[in-house]
Parts: sequence; C-alpha cells; structure tokens
Amino acid sequence: MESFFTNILPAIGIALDPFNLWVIPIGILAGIVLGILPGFGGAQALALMFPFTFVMTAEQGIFFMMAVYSAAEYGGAIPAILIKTPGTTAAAMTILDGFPMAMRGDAYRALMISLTAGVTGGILSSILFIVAASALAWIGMQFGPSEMFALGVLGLSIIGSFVGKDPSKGFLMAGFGLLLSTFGQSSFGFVRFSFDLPYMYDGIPLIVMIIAMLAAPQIFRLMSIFSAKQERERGLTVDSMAIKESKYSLKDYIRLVPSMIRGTIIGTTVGAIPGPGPTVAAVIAYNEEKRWAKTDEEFGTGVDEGVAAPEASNNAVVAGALVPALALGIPGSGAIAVLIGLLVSKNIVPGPMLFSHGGPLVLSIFVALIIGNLFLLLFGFFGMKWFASIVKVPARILGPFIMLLLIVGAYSYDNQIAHSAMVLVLGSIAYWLDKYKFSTIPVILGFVMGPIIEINLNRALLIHQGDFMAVVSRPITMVIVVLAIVTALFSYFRNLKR
Amino acid sequence: MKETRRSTIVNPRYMDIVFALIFLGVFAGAYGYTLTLPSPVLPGDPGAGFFPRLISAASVIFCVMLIVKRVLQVRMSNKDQQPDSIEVRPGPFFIIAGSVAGLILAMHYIGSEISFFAFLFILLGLRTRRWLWSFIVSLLSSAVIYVVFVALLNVHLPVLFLPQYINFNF
Repeated sequence: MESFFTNILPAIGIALDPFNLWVIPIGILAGIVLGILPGFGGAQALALMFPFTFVMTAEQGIFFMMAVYSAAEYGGAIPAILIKTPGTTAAAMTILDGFPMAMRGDAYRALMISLTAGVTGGILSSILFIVAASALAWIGMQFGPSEMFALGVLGLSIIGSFVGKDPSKGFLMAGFGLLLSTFGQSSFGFVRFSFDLPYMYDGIPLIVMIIAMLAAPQIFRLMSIFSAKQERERGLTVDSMAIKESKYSLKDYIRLVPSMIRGTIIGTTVGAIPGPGPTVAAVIAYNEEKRWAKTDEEFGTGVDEGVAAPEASNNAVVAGALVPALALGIPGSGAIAVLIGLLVSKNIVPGPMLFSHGGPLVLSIFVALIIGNLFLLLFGFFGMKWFASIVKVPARILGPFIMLLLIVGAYSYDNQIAHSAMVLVLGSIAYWLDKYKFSTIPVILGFVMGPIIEINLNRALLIHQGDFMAVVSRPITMVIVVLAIVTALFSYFRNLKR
Repeated sequence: MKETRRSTIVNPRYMDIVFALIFLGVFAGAYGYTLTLPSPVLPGDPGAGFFPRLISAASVIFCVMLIVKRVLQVRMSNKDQQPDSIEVRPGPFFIIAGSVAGLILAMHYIGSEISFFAFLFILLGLRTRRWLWSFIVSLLSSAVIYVVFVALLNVHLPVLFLPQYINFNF
C-alpha cells in the first residue's frame, strides 16, 4: 500500500507525458484494424508490431503494445458481430448473440454494447489491478498444474451446457478439438499424427483452426449465393435485414453495467491465471451471465447481455494477464509472451522484484491501459458508422473478398501454402458439421484448451508419481472438478427433460 | 432421404447417427495409433500417447451415447414427431471448394498477384455480370491486399512480378 501511494502520481505523470502518450492512439488504431482482419488476433498483432518498438523507449514500447493488444481484443468483435467471422478467438462468444442482433438490424447497438463493455471491462480491470495487485498475484501463485488441469476440464464441461441443444454433440465436438490439438510435436519430443507430412510436424496452427472452424462455414454459405434473387430468398438483402436506427442510450448502458462488472471480475481473475486467456474468460462470462438471466433460453437469439458479458471479460483479461507476466515472468498467453520479450529487450526483468523495486513503471502500465481504453471509446464511437456499413455490401459480393482474406490470413501465419490448404480441408469439414447442427465452437475451445490441459495434467502426474487421485484430491482442484461434473450432468439431464 | 432435382432432403437424426459412426471410426483409429507411440520411461510420466488415448476413449463413449440416443429416438418417434428436415445442396459447395482449391494452387505456382485478381474477377463477374466493374474492383483489391500484407505487414506471399515495381523500404 505504501508503495502504491508513493508511486501512483509518478506513474500518472509517466503515462500522461506527451513523449509517451502519442504512441497510445496509434496503437489503438493499429490494434482495431489488425483485430478486424481474420488471422490477426492479439498475439499476431503484437508480433507484427514488435519491430516498431525497436525505435521506442521502454515506456513507449510497452504503452504501444498494450494499446495494440487491448484494441485488437475489441477489434475482433467487429467482424464477429457484422459477418459472423471473429477476428480473435475470444470474439467467438460474441457471435452467439452479436450476430443475431446484426441480422435483425441492430448491428449498431451490438457494436456499441461491445465497445462500451470492452472499455468498461478494460478500465475497471485496470483500476482493480492497481488497487489489488498483490492479492491477484497471490491467487495466481496458488494455481499449480493440478488446478490448471481442472480449470481446463471445467471449461470443456461448460461447453456442453450451452452450445447447441444436445450436450452429447457438444462434448463430441470438444473431443474432436482436443484430438486435433494433439497433432504435431508433443511436449515429450515425439511427433504425433503427422502422417509423414513435413508441414504437420508443428501441428495445426491455432489461426488455421479459428478460420476453418468459425469463419469458413459462414463464408461457404455466403459464397454459395450467386445472384440477387438468392439473396432475397435467403433474407440477406439490406431491406430484409431491417437496418433501422437502433439506439443505444445511457439508460441501456446503465442497465448492462451489472453484466459488465460480472464479466470484468471473471476476466480479471481468469487473466491472472496463466494459461486460460481471453477465450476461456469469455466462455465462463457468457455462461455465468446465462445463469444469472431470468430468461436464459433467450441467450443465443440476440440479447444485450450475451454481448456485454463476454466482451467485458475478454478485455478485462488484458490487465489480469499482466499480473503473472509482470509478477512472475510467466506468459499467460502468446500475446503476453511477446510483451515479455519486449521487456527483456529493454533490459527490464519481469518478476517479483519488478513489483517491489520497479518504481512507478508497473503502475504506469495500468494507467496507460486506462488512457488507451478512453482512446478506444473515442475511435470506436466515431468510427462505428463506417464499421456498421459493411452489412450493406451485398452478400454475394462480400463472400469472395472474405474468403480471399481468410486464405491470405492463414498463409500469413508462417508463410506456408499448406496452411491455406488446411483451411480449405478443415473448413469443408466444418461446413458439413455446421450444416447438420454440430457446432464448431466446442472444436475451437477444445483445441485451445487441449495443450493447457495436457501439459498441466502431465506435470501434475509427474509431480504425484502417476497417482491420478492425488492430482484431483487437492482442495482447489477437487472443487473445480466437482463443479465441472455437476455442470455436465445438469446440462445432460436438462436436455433429457426437453 | 429424398432427392429433388438439385437438393437432397435428409432427416437430421439419421445424419447424427452417420456422423457419430464416422467419428467413432476416427477416434477408434486414433486410439489404435496411440498404441504405437513410445512407452513412457520416467516414473509418473504418462507418455506421448496418454492424452490422445484418453480423449479418444472418452469421445468413443460420447459417440456411442449419441448413436444409442438417436436410434432410440428414431424407433420411439412417430410421424408427427419428426424433426425438421435439412435441405442439402452439394453442388454449390463443390463449386466453391474447387474455386478455392484453384486459388491456392494458383498462388503456389503462378504467384499471388495473378491468382488474387483472377479469383476475384471471375467470381465477382459471374455474380454481378458487370465485367468492367469487376475488373476494376479486382485490380484495386489485389493491389490493396499486396500493399497491406506484403509491403506493410511483411507477409511473404508468393509473388511473381509486383515487387519489381512496388517496393516500400522503411
């Protein structure tokens, strides 16, 4: 506490210094643009912007990268809402209610909810961190491999509780995603499921899976529209979308604040735990919001809370993820790994000493995050009409452009044409799965959580000499595993009743 | 399953069974494959095959659950309780998949510039029947993609001739 009051004013001074301040709006703009592009999530955006930090000071570089990261997480929601194509993995949850809102003409409202929820989540989590940094670091330190494994299992059980009408299909798709995550190099040094193909040695890239599973089915559908007549038959014309002037007032925002606060708390807490990241935070936030709702069956049809909660949480993760990164030097995600690389390149060593002896630097990062979110609100608000105008482009014209962007986006990950081919193959599979009501969202979530679950399960088993019961009998682990089992059984029996 | 001129009407419950059987085969095959992976050496080390084996075994159970459930639903339901059928038109899918496959092959063999332009020009032209407009839009779009991805984002797209004329050295 003493160091907080000692450092907060110098931290604000560092963040508001014009010499450092100018990089923040540039980072916000770059982040929004990159977040919109399929194939460029937070990690890719940071990796691409990294070379530009070589000419910046340490503070400038950190502020710039944090602005890019938080803006990219928001930017991913824009294509998710407008064209059911998430720019980032976490934005996949925003599709569930954001896209239906856009389809009935409330695209502007959905985008404003996403913007205000993201900004609220980002600012609140930054304030929360500033006040409770040491407590959050302590929580994060309590989570060992057993707890991380249990958290992954909980995430997967949640999938079956809300995706689709039949949890059996949800769990089956999650299993498919988990299996795909084991392709390629394992942590044991052996290559699995490579089929003797050189480009399979590194497995299937996450970005290929995102594009193939989430975007490709919709783009195949868009591209199957060859004429204006087909657009009218499918109700995809501008008139039938009824794009009326959907309003979003201060009263609406105040009504959604409880949802945003719940999402923020979830996002900040999940972000503080190394591994899960914004995707898991968005999943948990959405599910919890559904539990809190009086009419949970409306979720998935375009309710405001279904956008507000996951968007607040995935932006709140940014501040939370900085806790283990700055306090322990543990990157909780690929994006944070890039940030740690930046710190090291500027001769700043992340770890406990940074909190206790780093002066106002750590606090200035969070002040800069708050400032960045204010710029995000400004740019997002005034740029909104330009983003919303995308839905007016005829669907039959939009399809080829988006497909081309997806193919190029997949290629850009590692400059391999094989990844574009993977998108085509996996995207075709996803199209037919989606056609027959096998949701592909659990596939993605299983794919993302697979490595987390496997690595932590293996570590836990190693620690406990292969005794699985010893792994799950740890107090926090047991609570999480029981919660996962209850969630799965509850969803299954609820489905049987229907 | 009924077939009309260009589409097929299918009962989703039957398709659930078909997909579950397909996945059953996939997961059973994956399980068998994991048995060929090296055994663990260190005490407590589960080995490379443990996790995929665990997933495959659990997923086989989910497949069986789904098959049993659907078979029981099909046997117990009457005509009034049939779920909404799904109309399937495979023709457009194969056309689209073929065009994308052509784009990928063209990128690899003749470079991105020509393949992007050709992909957009042909598809836009067929959709709008406005060939001059399609030509201009395709040309501009290909140029924008080149500038954004190759020049600004430093993505090493396979290119044939544009770098000789457009090069940004920052």
